[in-house]
Amino acid sequence: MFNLQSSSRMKQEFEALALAHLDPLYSAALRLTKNERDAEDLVQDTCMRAYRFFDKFERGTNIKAWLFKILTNTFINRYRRRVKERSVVEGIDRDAVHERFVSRDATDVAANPEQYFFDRLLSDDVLRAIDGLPIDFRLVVILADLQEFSYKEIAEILECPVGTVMSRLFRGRKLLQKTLRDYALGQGVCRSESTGAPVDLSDYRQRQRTG
Amino acid sequence: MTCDELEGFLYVYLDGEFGASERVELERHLASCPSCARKVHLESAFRENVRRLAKEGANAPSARAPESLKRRVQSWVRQEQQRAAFRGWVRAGAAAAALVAAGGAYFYVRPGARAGYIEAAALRHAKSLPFEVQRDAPELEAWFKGKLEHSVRVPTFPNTTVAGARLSNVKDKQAAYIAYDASANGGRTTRIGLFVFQDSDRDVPAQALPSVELDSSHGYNVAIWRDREIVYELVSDLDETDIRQMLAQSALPHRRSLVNEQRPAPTTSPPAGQVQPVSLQH
Repeated sequence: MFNLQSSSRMKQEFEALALAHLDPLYSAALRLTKNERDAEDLVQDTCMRAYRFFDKFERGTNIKAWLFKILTNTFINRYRRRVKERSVVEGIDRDAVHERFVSRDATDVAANPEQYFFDRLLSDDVLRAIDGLPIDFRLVVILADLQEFSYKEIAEILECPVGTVMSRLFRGRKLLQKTLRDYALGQGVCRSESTGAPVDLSDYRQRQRTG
Repeated sequence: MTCDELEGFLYVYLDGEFGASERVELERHLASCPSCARKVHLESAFRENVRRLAKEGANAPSARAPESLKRRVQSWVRQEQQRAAFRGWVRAGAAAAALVAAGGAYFYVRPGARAGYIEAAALRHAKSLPFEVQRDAPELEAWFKGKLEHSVRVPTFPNTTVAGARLSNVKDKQAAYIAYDASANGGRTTRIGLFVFQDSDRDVPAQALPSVELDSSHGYNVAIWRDREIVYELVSDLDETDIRQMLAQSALPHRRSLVNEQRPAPTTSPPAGQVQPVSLQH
């Protein structure tokens, strides 16, 4: 016979653990789906799946990472096809950003160009630049910079090697930088920085050991 | 550490993912290389600013989960808990009605979604289309390979033989169709059809093994279950007891152990003649 008591305990436990993370789940879902309606659906879907598989969750391990794994899987399997990807260019309202650089004070810029650049960026610019990233890079940037997961946690969430997390994060951040910097560059606020390339950490460690 | 290596590891370092000795090495390089030191400073400022700004945006009231969403999830959990308490005890028909009733509160369950797949399978089976292949189970699996987007594992059932197979479909899903001949009670032979199809989007509401649900359509009893993304529909004119017995004794291909799953046994027998969701462990 089904045990009502254990079911009620499970409900309470699920509510306490999972619902506490509704805000971060929703905020990540917004960045993934780019609209509120799909974000709500995605989070709701994630919670339903999480509840159904709650007996598979290893108590004492990181529930937030577990929930994000379900969220990203659900997104990739179900929503990704539906969501029209916006390009990087569309991601930012060029004019609105441009405006903030036009009236700059030349002495400020000379003293600290990077600071000047960031002082004029709004959180909306950054979020929309993130929204404009291709999905693979967007996922790691959301997980690393918005949710502050470790590389190892991200690797588990996305079911990929840590090396892949590193290289996607490298390229994702460089792309993000480029998008945000392009506006400043147009105004001569920032100097162009070399973009470089990710280096394989395990190769490097191997070299250090042998050489 | 060279300047190029440092460039490549910059984020690993800034994210605090470097080992202690690697950090020392990198910082030693920074102490003697003003160009890299400047780069690290800029990248660090960029990373901090992006995080700060992104979090500001993400924590804005408009970016928080709406109260309505919270309430919907809570009410769904409550309904799911109640549903779980009765699972296995209500008639399949009543369960479907309960699903439909609960479905009013959330978008996920499309009323009648399963009924459509049950009916489609029953009608396909009734047509008795000619087989494309007549082989034993292992060779059948090989035959299906490459013809469908998923791999097909052909279950075997006691007192049945594989009659043949063909590519088929259940509604919009491409399916493998495997026909078995079973000797039913009284020595008569009856044809059983099994549809195996992929349902990654979970369009078909079906429970995971060891739960199997029974429904009927067009005079056939249809058992339906899912193994992750794969849905199985078994169509036959066997009665509930026979189906239940057959499934319990069969080698169903699935990826989870039946033994470890705790599913309590019923304390009373279901009323005769009623179609029940069955568990293979009863």
